[in-house]
Amino acid sequence: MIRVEHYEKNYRETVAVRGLSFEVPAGSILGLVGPNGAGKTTTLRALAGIIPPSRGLLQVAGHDVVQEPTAAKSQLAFIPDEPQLFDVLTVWEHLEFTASVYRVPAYEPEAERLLAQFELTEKRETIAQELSRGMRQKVAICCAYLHQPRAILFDEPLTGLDPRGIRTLKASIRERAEAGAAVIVSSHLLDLIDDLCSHLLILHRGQSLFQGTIAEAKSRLEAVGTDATLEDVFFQFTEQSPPHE
Amino acid sequence: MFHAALWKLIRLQWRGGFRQFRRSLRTFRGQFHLGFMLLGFVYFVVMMYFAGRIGSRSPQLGLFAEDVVGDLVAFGLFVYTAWTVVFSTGEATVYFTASEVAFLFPAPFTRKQLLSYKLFKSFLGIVAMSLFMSLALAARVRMWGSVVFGLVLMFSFLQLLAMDVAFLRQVLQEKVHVWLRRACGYGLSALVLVALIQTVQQAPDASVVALASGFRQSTAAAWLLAPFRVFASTLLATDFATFLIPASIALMIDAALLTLAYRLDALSLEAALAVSEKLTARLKLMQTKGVWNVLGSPSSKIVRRRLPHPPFWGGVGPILWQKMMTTFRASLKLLWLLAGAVLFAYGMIYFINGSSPNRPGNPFAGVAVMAYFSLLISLTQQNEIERVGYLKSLPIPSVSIVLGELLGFVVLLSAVQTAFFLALCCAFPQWAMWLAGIAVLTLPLNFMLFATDKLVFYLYPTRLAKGAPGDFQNSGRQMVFMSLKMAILGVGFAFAGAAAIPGAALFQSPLAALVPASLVLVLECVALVPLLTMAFNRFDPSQDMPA
Repeated sequence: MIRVEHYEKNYRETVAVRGLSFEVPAGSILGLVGPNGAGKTTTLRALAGIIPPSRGLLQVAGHDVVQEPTAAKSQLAFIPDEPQLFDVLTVWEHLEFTASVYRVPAYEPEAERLLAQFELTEKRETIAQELSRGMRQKVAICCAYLHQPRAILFDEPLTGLDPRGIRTLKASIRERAEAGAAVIVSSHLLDLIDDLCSHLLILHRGQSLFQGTIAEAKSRLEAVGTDATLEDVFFQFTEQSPPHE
Repeated sequence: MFHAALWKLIRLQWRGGFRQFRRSLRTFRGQFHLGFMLLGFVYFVVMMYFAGRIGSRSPQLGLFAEDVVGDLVAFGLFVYTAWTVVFSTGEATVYFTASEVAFLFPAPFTRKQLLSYKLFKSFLGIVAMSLFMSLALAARVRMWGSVVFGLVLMFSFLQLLAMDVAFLRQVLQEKVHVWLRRACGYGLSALVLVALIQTVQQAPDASVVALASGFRQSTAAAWLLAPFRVFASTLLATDFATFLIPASIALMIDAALLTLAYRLDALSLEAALAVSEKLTARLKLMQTKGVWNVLGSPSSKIVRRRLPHPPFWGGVGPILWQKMMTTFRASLKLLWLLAGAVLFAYGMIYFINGSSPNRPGNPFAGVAVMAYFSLLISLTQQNEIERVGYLKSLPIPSVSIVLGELLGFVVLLSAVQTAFFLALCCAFPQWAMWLAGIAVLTLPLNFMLFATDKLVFYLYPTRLAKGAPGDFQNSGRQMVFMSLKMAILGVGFAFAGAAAIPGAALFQSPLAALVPASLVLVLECVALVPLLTMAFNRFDPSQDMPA
């Protein structure tokens, strides 16, 4: 569903991502982890068609993001780390606009369901300016889910959410994956990745250090023992990584 | 070309704006702000209209407008074009808000659709701005419609040109782009040089004004300015016959630039994202840490610029040091700006008055620039709402915090200004007494200005807003703020002025006027400190920008 081959992103002399290749099949949840500046957001933005790759192939639902951007984007949802809504639009108007962007016919029942799922029904007519950060995040997620995307990209999705919101979001991500969507979750919260994701990709200085299932990652660490946590895995990989040339 | 969802977004935003507007009118505060804003607007329109009528009745001014404004417009457009083509970095030509980036960039829109959306929105802005600006010229020109149309064409030209240059930069290879820019730069410089040589050869002993006039009449300058003169001719058309041809050519130039923008199809979402992130971060910084932090933009390159630590002084010392360091490290860019403003003012004065030191305009132009600079810079000290929260958490008495905060900025600013006034004393010895008097008053005047600004801010906090559609009250709020500040300052300066009159009248000496005036000013400054401390204690950082 999501395919990345030899992806490279350069900013003049700085290499943000080098030779990255991975796949996220339908129904999988990939956890994208790495220290600050590893290239996680750059990769997600390139997949969302916001920034062009310097080299390589990026595909969403069989469509090349560079060659067929609108076809790829119509199958995709990207939820950035900072929920940015239109200040003067109400919660419902955001959904109305999103439905019109993705040409979702008769969107109202699904929109109502999403509002109920994320406990936003009462805030339906509230303008975005008056919402808390967590609620803004929930609105952004509802908008992202409305057109039933086949690929979903989350960048630090839990920031600002309350415990109930976190539980709802996790459940919704699992539901979407079970329904056949390919999901990438980029986060520094390793517990979230451990709990939610089936696969793991560790990025460091723009390079992939590990790709595989979480169980495989843990089994690689013989020195740590069988009860290794994802945190142990993360530090083992990133601290052994050779310095950037 | 224009996606239905983007029309819908524009409609929803307008609807949201009107909804905001209606909502804000439900409170007394909202009605008051709107009323104040409308009053200010009516005042501005009436003032501009009558200023225009006075100008049009004066034959000298009327001639000046007819003859020179056209050349100035054409020359200004030429300079802008040359600058854009040769030096433009291609940044910030199309600005998307953070919410537009979040919703529109990952959505299935083509680049052309996004470009159409932005162009349409900015065209609406251009029309509104042109209508507003045309009010200033309404009484001066014979065809108001031509002014509006001319302004719309001119602003569209400026925007489309910058956009095309940026798009070309995206499309062309780096080497080709550099070569093209250099070729344009050298070509334009050669033409300007030829025009200058022609001008000087024709009248080698002429004055600056005569040379400027000769320059615009030279063949090379005529060629250079010809494409831009059509915009000026559209603006200044006297009837339909003189309007039609230049307006048609100007329209064709804009249409060609628009076509080129669509043909290039090089709207870079990456570049637009970078600009949007930069501006959003800047606005956030201004809203939370004050405008100064953005204007000064301190960077880690200037860590070597250090000031010595003063003693504790009951808590004033650390605050004073921190504030002075922040100001000092962020001040270099502003000092250059100030130096540029002073040079510009003296250039203009020299152009108008000549070099005679006996004309009061000559020494006091620098004083006016400094006063205006102080007024402007005082505005950058507002909005430090997060900083106030931090200051309140410190184990230092409020009065020390207030004094440290004020003096940290005022002392540095006054030191620069006093040094400048003393330099003016040497340059204009016949005005030395007056200039020295001003130098003495600089510190209390600045203290009073900044203390009043802080006082009004603590009593009537307003946070810098994005200016969402429908938020007309924001302008009203700012106007109330400014009026309140000016009223307090006016009363304070009136008392100081009144104290100066007897001395000046009896002894006919600047010193006799200066001493009582400065005493009153100092007393006023001292009186402001407890008021400011009370307002600081009362200030609640969580209650910023009440609607």
